Amino acid sequence: MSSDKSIEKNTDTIASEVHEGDNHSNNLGSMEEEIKSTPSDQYEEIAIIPTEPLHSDKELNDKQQSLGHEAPTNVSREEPIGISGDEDTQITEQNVNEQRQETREPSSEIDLNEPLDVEKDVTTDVQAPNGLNIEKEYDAVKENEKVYADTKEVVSSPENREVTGKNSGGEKSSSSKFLDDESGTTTAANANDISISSEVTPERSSENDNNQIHITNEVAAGINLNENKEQKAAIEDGPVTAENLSSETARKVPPIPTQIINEKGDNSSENEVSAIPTTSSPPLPPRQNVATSTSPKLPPRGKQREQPPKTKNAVPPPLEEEMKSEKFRKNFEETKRNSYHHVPLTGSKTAQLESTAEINLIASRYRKTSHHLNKEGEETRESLQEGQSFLKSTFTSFLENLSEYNEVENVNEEDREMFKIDWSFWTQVVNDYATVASNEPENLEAHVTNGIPPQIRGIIWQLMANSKSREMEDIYETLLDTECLHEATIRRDLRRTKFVAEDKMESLYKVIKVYSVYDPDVGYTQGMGFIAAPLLINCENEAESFGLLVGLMKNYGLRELFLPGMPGLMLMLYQFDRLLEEHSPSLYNRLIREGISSTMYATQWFLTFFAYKFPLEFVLRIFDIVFVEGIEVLLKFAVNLMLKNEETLVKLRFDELLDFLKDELFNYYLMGNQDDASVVQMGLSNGNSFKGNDDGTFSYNVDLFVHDAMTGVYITPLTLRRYRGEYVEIHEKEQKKEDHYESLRIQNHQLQREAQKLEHDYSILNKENISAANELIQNRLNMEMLLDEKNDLINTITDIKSQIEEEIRKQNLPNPDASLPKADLREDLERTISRNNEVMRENGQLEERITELQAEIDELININKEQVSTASLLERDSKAKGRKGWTGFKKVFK
Amino acid sequence: MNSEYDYLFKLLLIGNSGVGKSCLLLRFSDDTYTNDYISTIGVDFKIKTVELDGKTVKLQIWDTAGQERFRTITSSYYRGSHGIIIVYDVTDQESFNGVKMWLQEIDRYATSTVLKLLVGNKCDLKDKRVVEYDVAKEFADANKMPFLETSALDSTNVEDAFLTMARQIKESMSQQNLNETTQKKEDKGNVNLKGQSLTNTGGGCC
Repeated sequence: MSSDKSIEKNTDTIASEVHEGDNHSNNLGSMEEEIKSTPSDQYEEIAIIPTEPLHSDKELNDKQQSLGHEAPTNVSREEPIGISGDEDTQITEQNVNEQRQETREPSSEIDLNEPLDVEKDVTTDVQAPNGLNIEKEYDAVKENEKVYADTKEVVSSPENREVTGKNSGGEKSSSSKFLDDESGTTTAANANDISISSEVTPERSSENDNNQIHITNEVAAGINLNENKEQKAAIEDGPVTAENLSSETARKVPPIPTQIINEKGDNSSENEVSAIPTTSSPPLPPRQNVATSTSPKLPPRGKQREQPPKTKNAVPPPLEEEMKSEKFRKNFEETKRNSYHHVPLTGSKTAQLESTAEINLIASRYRKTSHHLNKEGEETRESLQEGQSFLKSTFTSFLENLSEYNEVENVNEEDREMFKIDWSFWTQVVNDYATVASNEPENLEAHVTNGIPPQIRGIIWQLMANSKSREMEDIYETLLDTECLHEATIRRDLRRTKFVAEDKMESLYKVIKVYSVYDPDVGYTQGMGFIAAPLLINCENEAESFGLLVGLMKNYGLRELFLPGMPGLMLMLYQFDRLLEEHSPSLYNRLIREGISSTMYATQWFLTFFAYKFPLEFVLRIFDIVFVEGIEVLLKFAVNLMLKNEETLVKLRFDELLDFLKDELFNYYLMGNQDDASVVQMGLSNGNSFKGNDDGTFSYNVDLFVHDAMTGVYITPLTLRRYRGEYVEIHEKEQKKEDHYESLRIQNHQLQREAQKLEHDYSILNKENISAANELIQNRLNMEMLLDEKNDLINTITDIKSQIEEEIRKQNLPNPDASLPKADLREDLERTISRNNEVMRENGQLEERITELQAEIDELININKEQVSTASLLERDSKAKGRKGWTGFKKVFK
Repeated sequence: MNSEYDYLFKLLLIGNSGVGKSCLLLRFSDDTYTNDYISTIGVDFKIKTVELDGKTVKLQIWDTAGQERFRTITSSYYRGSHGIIIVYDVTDQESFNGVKMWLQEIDRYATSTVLKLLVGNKCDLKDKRVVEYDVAKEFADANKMPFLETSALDSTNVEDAFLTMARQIKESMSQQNLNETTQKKEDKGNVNLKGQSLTNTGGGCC
């Protein structure tokens, strides 16, 4: 158990510190060697000390001395508790639940806590200056309240310190590298543990004024958290070593706390008081911080951050085990008791705000606002301060006018009502809202519930939202002429927005347009007009209403509702469902059975602050409460409306139900609609209600409406946070499912396409197959035919064969006629041959004869020729005789 | 319980912001028209009962916010719808271009058997028209859905549009029902039960 050792070490140091008295810086040096994870915190803390609590240090030391060397023993005695404290972290959820139930029954057992050992107090407080408490503030997640001894363990155990260091480092992107480098397993529960001590300790030690030390610590934490720049500068300026740092940073940091304090008022006697709210802001739980201010930039991440998955894993077994330990049980009981007494306890204001912030929306809201403020740069803050003082002066001049009225005594109806207003209270609010918000949230709530006087409504709104600043107005002027994508849409929608007179339409357009330019992520979303219109009605000018709008969006977290995907709205609807379920399970079930979900009717409530359908008088009062308690308060109104109308709602069927939910819920508050009992019950300002609408036909008991919502529905930031955790978990699951579905869809798409392709291929193949089959059939047929043919041929062949055989057989048979013709032929042939020979011979003889005759002819021709020539000779000789010669020749020739 | 009507159909109106979905619905359900109807935040809802071929048909019509950002909310209303009417503004090309995107939304969130209808609203503004009838008709045909041009102002075709949708659904339902009743003849109340259950699932889905 390394932590045990370190505890002992720590306690040694503490003890020595105590004896060394005021010499903090030396002590720090030695501490630093041991506690390496948190050097920057220590510097901060030292830096603060000069601003105030020297005397308390002394007191402390005095006490410690009187206690002697008790401290070390004390701590070691608590070692086992410390261990249990570690494991405690795993049962956070349970604790939260228990606590939630029990916070509702504020008891007055503070006294029980008083008999605490002073030693314990002192040890804790001595440790506190060592800067360890600061870490607690980082992680001030207040869900869980634990034994302060546990915290002590947490404080002194290096493991835990690592955890917290990581928390703060991751969350704030603190410039402290030490913090960033610490990568331990961050458990939300640890953070819870730590945060508790900040509440418990001062309370217990309220007698001793020790809480002042605590305050300074918190201041330091605040600075450390929120003034990253300053701190960075401080650290970078002096390359820090354990020795010189303490003094160096001491010089640099102080201006910041002083500044804050100054802002709250110069009255030094009030300094202590006013410091409280300021200091209280730093411990703003990371969750809230994430939700409102950090997350706008990275909303999804912020949400993840808040989910309590760790707490979910925190299963009871460890608790049961721990319960076996007597000390654990004792401390456990003690913690529980302690945590419930914070509300009634007024002695220690820081602690009060801390704890009230858990269960009171005002305190929670105020914490957020101041945290938001602290996050801003110096210039912005100066500008905001200027704005504040301007508002104050406006208010003062208004009051002066009012007192003049008073003197004139020209009292008409309206004025008389004005005098009923508790102007002194409002003056107090204007002058020091911080004090009022942290010290008397109940009182403030009561006053605001009765309605902020319409005359100063704008001023109060701006004060509460801390929105007025020259810087913002400059931004407004600069962006006024910037082109914007949404211009046409805005113009079209504005024609469709109520509440705004014609002449203000242009202003409304400008405010919304400038916002859409200013915050491009949100741009323009339908419904914004409903938010901006009431602001414009109550502000001096457009720039102021723009400032308020920005305040609502960024500081109050309204932005989340309008972002793409509307994460804030979905969360709020979930919270609404759960709250409704909690307050009236029967109504909730009834609606579910009828198939009605809150998205159907509550969307417009939350996105427009009920302005979508509700009359303006309701809306303005809702705005009042929103500004003082945050937009979460819309849930109160919503749940209250549902509860009040429950009787009607359970009677209606689906169709009528929706219409009723959308258009008629507020009719419950029509004058004369409620029974007298409830009016009496409210007992407060009956006469203050609005007389008549613009239509002049209806008048509503708006006071009762607001009262009912504020008193009838009890919502704590704690509850909301729990639901938020649930929602985030569910949402994540759904998101996963959605993603999964989406991927399946895509896959399905691809497969479908593939299937189509395959189908196509298949059809082609099918065709081929068919043609092949056809061919096959054809071939079969062919084959049949061929077979037939073959058979035929075979038959023919056999026929032929048989014929042949027949022939052969016939041939083989003895043929009687066969010899006959043969003999004939030979004989004939021989005869013919012989005849032929005969003919040939005869022919030869004849040829011879022809030749003979030819020769005879030739001889005769020759003779003739001789005779002719002789004749011619004769003729010449005797012409007369010639003719006779010729005739003679002719006769011879013949 | 279901005696008052024979059929219950769930219709959904979608389309870009400002195309006149709410006006169309208002004209159909209440037969009125207002020029400065406030923009829908989230979803709105109207009931209208009509006679169709001798049957009483109850139309449960959901009107949605057109702005893209509201899709987180409106998308959950697609699933239980029997019919979806996509509205565009004939004087606004952008809104007609958006129809394609709305079809994708339907593809993504609605059941595959859902019936669609394309409606070009504001057809009374003749001189401002930019989307021609033929173009839209062609587009509608290509996407296999009926198409009508309406005017909520002078109530041209408004009733027709919703009745066309209703008739389509009825036909497809009786078609479907026919198939089922051949198997289970005693299941005559099937239609009503079906309509009813769709209501419930529609509500429970968010």
